Amino acid sequence: MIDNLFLDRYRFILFIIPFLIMLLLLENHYASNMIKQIKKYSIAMINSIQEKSLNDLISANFMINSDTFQLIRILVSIIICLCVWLALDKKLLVWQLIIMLIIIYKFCYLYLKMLDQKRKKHLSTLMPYCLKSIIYLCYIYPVNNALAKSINYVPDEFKDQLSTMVNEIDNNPTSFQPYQRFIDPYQGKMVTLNMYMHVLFRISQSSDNETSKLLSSINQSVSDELNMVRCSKNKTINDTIQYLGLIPVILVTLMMGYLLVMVSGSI
Amino acid sequence: MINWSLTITTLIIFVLIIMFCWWLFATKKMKTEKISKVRWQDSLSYINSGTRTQLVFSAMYIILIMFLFFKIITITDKLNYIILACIVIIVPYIISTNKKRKQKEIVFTDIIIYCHNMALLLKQTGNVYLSLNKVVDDVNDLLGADIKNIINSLEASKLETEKILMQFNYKYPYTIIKNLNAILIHMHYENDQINDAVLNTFYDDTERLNKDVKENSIKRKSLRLQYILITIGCLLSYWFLLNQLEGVFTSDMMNDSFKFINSIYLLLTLIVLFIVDCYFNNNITRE
Repeated sequence: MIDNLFLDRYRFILFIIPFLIMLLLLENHYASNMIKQIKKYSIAMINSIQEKSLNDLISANFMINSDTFQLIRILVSIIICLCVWLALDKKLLVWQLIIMLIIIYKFCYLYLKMLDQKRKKHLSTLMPYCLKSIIYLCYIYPVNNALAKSINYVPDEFKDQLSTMVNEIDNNPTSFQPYQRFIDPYQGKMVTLNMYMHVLFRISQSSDNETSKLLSSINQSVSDELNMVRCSKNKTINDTIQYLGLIPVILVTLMMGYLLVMVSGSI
Repeated sequence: MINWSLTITTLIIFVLIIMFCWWLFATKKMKTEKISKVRWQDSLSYINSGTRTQLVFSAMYIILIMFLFFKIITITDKLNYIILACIVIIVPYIISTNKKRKQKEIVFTDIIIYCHNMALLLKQTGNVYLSLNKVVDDVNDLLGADIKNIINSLEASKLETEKILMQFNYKYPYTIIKNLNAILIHMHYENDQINDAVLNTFYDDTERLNKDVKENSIKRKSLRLQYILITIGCLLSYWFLLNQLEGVFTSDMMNDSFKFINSIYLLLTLIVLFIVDCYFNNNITRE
């Protein structure tokens, strides 16, 4: 038994050594990157366990307050656990039930995060449409007025943010801070938004001669982005139709196989 | 002795195939007409050709329903009876969603024509009232009536026009319409000497949208055709195999299970066909 244990350890070391050599052979750059990634994921995991952003997530995705959400969450966890317990003929132990309860309780948070990700993705697809409307108005009016007027033309999801931004710009027209606050929620999802907002800020601070040049430069980029969003939307629909089209082929193949097995059995 | 049931079924299938070929020919004709005429006016001929195709479709569905009713009367198996009853219930729903999709596509094509022509006319005339009056003749009656409302509101106050334009935008929720509305308000009430860059940008955007929509709709139609052909091919191959296996099973139990599996397969294929058709009709080419 001791020999076996030693052999297992020996095998374990043999498995670890190539991995360590690979790490050593890699450049410092990759290794440090890997460490950074591990650090990033661990922080994300700890945050997820601590549920730091729970209140923000609830307010962004639901019309209910956090207490009601927690109550619903606990009730859902208990009901699901009870259903599973009854379905398995009351064979689950107490510790198993508690673990299941915790997992389901945590799943609610993960589901909330998933909903938030989905919402952010939806907003990032709507952003080019919003920017396009702002650019049209910027051709006609000065930037501050254009932003104020655009509240009537942009998608509903951006109206509150835009009105806050317009108020802040009115209070402090020479600062980039209002634009920055508008960008912050989409920082990871839409990289080019930062560039567009900087250009808009420059237009607001520049003379009339520069305006049309700057506007035409971002107009082209926004049009390209809009085109990409449109293409990806259409591609998703087309791909789904294509995949669904394969189902009859799969069905007929399965049926033919089953029939042949039946025939061979009868012979 | 003649098997009347089999003869009538074969005859109906033959008629259905002929109708299907006719429909294919009609849609192909419609597609070419659409490409050549969608840019400028004459959407009436497009609608006429669309109605003709719809007539062929309706005739095909009526024959199919008659065939199914005939089968339901003569059928004895309960599961098959349920399947055929489901088909009879589902078919009208599919027809209505198909019609709705076509109407939506026509409206969207009209919207593109409206925006495209408005961009050109505004550049040419610089007058909103004149441009709208000219554009009314280029679009369908449905959109034309709404544009006439806008024309009437132009004589009233700015607030009234904005309200009408908001309603128009609520009815046709496209960003391109929102942008055009902003241009119209500015040109009519604030300053008719608009920067050419705005109209050029708007024209370019409409052009690009038109191109994308056309390309995508053609691609989707070919995808749908492929899907229908694949399904027909699968069903035919399955039917061929079934005919080959007829009489192979000796015991009654195996025969029953064979019939049951056959029915389940038909039901599954029907469900898949229904889901795909609903997905296709509910997700039209968008802005």
